[in-house]
Amino acid sequence: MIPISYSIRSLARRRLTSVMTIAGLSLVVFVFAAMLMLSRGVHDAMAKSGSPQNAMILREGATSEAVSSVSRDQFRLLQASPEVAATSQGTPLIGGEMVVISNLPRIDGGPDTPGANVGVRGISPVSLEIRDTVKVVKGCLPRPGTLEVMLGSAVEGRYKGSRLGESLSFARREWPVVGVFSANGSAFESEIWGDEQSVADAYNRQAFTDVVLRLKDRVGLSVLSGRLAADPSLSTLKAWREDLFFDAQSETLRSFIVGLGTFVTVIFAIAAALGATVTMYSQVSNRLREIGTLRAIGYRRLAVLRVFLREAIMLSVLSGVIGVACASLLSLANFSVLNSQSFTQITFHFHFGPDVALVALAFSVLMGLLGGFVPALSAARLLIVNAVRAR
Amino acid sequence: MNLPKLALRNTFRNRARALLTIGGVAVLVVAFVFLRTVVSAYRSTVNNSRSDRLVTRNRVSLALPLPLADFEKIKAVPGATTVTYSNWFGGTYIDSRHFFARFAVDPDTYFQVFKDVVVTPEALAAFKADRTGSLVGEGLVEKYGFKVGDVIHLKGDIYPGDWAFTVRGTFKGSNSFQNSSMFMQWRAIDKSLPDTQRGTVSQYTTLVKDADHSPEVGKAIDALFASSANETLTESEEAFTLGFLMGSAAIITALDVVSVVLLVIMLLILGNTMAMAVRERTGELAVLRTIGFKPNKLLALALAEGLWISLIGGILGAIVARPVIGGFLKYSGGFVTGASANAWTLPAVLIALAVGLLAAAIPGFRASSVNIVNALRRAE
Repeated sequence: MIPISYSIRSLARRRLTSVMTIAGLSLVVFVFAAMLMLSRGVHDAMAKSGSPQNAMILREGATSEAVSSVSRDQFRLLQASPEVAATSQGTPLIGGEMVVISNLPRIDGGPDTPGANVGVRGISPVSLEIRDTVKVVKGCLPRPGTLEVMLGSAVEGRYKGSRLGESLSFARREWPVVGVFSANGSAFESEIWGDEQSVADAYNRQAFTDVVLRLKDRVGLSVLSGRLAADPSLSTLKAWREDLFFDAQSETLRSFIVGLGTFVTVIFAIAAALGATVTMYSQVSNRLREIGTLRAIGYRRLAVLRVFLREAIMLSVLSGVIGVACASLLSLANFSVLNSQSFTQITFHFHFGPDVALVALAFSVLMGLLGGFVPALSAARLLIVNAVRAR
Repeated sequence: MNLPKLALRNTFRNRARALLTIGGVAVLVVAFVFLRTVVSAYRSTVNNSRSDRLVTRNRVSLALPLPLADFEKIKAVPGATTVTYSNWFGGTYIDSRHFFARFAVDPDTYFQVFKDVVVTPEALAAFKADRTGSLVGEGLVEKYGFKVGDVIHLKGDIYPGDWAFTVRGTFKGSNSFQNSSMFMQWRAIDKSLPDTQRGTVSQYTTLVKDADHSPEVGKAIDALFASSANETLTESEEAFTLGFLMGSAAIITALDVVSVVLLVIMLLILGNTMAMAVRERTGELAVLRTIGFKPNKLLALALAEGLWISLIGGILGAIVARPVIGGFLKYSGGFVTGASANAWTLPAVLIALAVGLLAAAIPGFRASSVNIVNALRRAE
């Protein structure tokens, strides 16, 4: 084995080249990790919004909650469904909800800046028991029958009046903000929750937009779907597993972000591998005599191959660590976009975790190996005579 | 031998390295053109929005409609020339990946207000004559191959049910959003609703006589309905579109950042190659100095080499970019439609040249300030 200090000194001697290679590779790793974090964040926001134990009932064909409707009569029929779980007190865990889109002025916007479309969810008293990921983190729950609202944590501070103790004005009413809730990073955090009856009054609606319920067991959903289809007064409705519904909601946006992310990553990976190859080739061609000497004093071809691969890996690990470290800072930032399927603004977090770090590091090492392999091979295949004669 | 030619010879002295660097530049140029194309497609929608068109919608929420009865009242507002109304149809074509805008319009007035949407009189007449007819934008024709007589099946959401619209003609809009829109008749969708929900529209669009007076006309329209059950919000088409795009501002910012990162990576790869090239030739540069080359010449030689690499890489990338990006946009899920990479190929090559020049600068100065005695001694 050629000692490791030899590799370290070699890299340190050609400092400019090493630094440029590391800078380039770590930028690539940074972007790669950011893409991973964002797609994880999108996944969190959508798939985690729902639970596989819950079902949502919407109008057949409705692509988002805001365009759906379930009449109060239909709701009463659904309430009696045997598939619905109940609390220990015997209250059925089923609630009608009213989801509307409101236009809110942005906090940093002037009078002419267009507002943002934010989802407002009117909830029933049992909604919070059904959606148990929702936790009030500041203030308290809005009281039923009032205009009080609570804000998802991604809404807090983003729009005019969106702070605890202030009030939001939409639909010609003032809505006092009494609480802020978190929901495990899900899309609910981009919504405003208030009392269902108050929202219905404000928007002059009678029917619910959708119904959410807790299933007794997982097979309950197919039984429920069967009964919806068979009952003529319920046949306009469709039952979804809640997590699958929210997942489907973000499909267009997610395929765009993931598609773009993949494209950018592939391009960067190619560029990074080419950059690493250029560097390693020059390492080899600058050290022909050294290689010849090493071979002449008895090191095998394999040892030479190893030494160059080792240098490539050292460069890539260092870049990987720098890139991942910078990317981890992104978890402080978030990313707010309009979901074209629901027409509401959703905020995603960059989700950092040990798995993201590992995948990004592995990616970095792979780039190093890809870039270093051919030059290392050509170094190993040199003939001693030619190598020692080189200038 | 002149200087550019000498630089070109130098470029390819280490063939593997030159080709790898050129390949890297080409790939990065493709990516750069792609990102700029996507961003331009977004922005073109705003740039082509007009300030002499006003959009009136329900003040409470985009999802709430306005009564059709407002139509006559808006028409009577002084300063308004023509008014039309349209509804967002929503719906799904095949599945949610195939997203494009679908509007139910009033065929008699729509094209008088949207004069930038070009449709032949024959196509318009055929559209008017068929209650279940439709007009499709050029971008959709390109993507899906729609032709006159085809039937487009949609699954309704806002207007529930299964819908079938016959293509009666195509139109050419002034931006990518219009070009990937589909129109059907407002009457057809209104008829499908229960009696109590009929006679509503999602937005009115008003063409004003004089763009300078748009704000006053907008205020006059909102004043008409200020105390009605359906308060309105009127803004210029520009502001309305901007409101939608601001929703995507984060994506645009991310794309801007990534484009800059691409250029930085290009700079690093090119800089690395140039640094190596100059370092290898230290002895030779000293020889050039001794035979009378001025430092400026050596700097120019290095810069020319940087330019050659980035020029070849840039052109290669620009040639590859068109088909690659065209292919990608076709399958991009409809988020970006009607965008073309052509506008960005020349700027991308120029930017690559600038990056090449910048990358060669530091190694170039090193070359020009080479210490003859030391360099010659090292070269033996």
